[in-house]
Amino acid sequence: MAHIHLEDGSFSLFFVLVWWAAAIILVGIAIYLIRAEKKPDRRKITLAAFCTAAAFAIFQVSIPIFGGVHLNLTPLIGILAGPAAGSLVVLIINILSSAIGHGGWGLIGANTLVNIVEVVVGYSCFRLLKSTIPAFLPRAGIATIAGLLCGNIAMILIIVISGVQGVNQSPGQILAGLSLIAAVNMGVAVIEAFITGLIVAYIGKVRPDLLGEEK
Amino acid sequence: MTEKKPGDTKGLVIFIGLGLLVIVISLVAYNATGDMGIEERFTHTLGLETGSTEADNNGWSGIAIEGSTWLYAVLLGGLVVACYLVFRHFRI
Repeated sequence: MAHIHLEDGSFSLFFVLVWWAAAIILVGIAIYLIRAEKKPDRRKITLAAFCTAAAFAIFQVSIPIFGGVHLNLTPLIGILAGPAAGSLVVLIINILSSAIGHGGWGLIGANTLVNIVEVVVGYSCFRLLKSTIPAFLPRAGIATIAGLLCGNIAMILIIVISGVQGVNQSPGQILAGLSLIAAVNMGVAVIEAFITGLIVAYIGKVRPDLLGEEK
Repeated sequence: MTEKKPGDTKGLVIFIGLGLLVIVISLVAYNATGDMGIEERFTHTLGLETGSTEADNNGWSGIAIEGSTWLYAVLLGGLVVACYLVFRHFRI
């Protein structure tokens, strides 16, 4: 899904540092919000751990759809762990992914930003749609599509702003090409939305308290 | 049996409609770009030199692990152990 699949050296050192700094600021805010809670939510910590393992596992599996893509589960992370813990989860996933050679080390900052957008939008849509769409499956599905769409837009913006070293295309040409990638990615977003919807619907049925909802 | 709420059908219709619309757009984009893996799609779009393709190690099923499979197993095993310890400690 929305993940910058470029190697180290694709972005100039300046933009590597810019995106790393932006990611560190957002993660810093997330840590501050978690620490500001008077009593740490034990369930959220455990859920965040499970989300990290599950998302890391699914992140590396290339599925032969649309030529080979992978799922992210980032909106699901947002829905289950919340935006603050979710931001930490995606940072860890991106570090671990780079450790096994999926994505460059220098792109961890940029990829974390993309994934934080997906987490925050997924979480926000799921909460905002509660009164309009009470059912878990469609609500989580729509939130996932919205989250991944915004993640793709963030990915395109980051690449267009940074530029890619060794590429002679104009920003307009890069934008057009990346828009096609994002459009292909969104086809997989529908599959991810369905999977997320089923998972959230099941959790909502057996343990609605984990979603912060009453039975 | 769970009671159906008023917004449930509307939500499902919106979700299915949105999903179908996105899939149609995606198929059009897929046909325009051709059959290639996500990394190839990136390098091809940006006009970069392509290295090895995902098709090289996809096996018969087409499903493959990106990056180093050995490190993947080690890290995933570590995460599973960490989850177990957190679960035991906090008892959700």
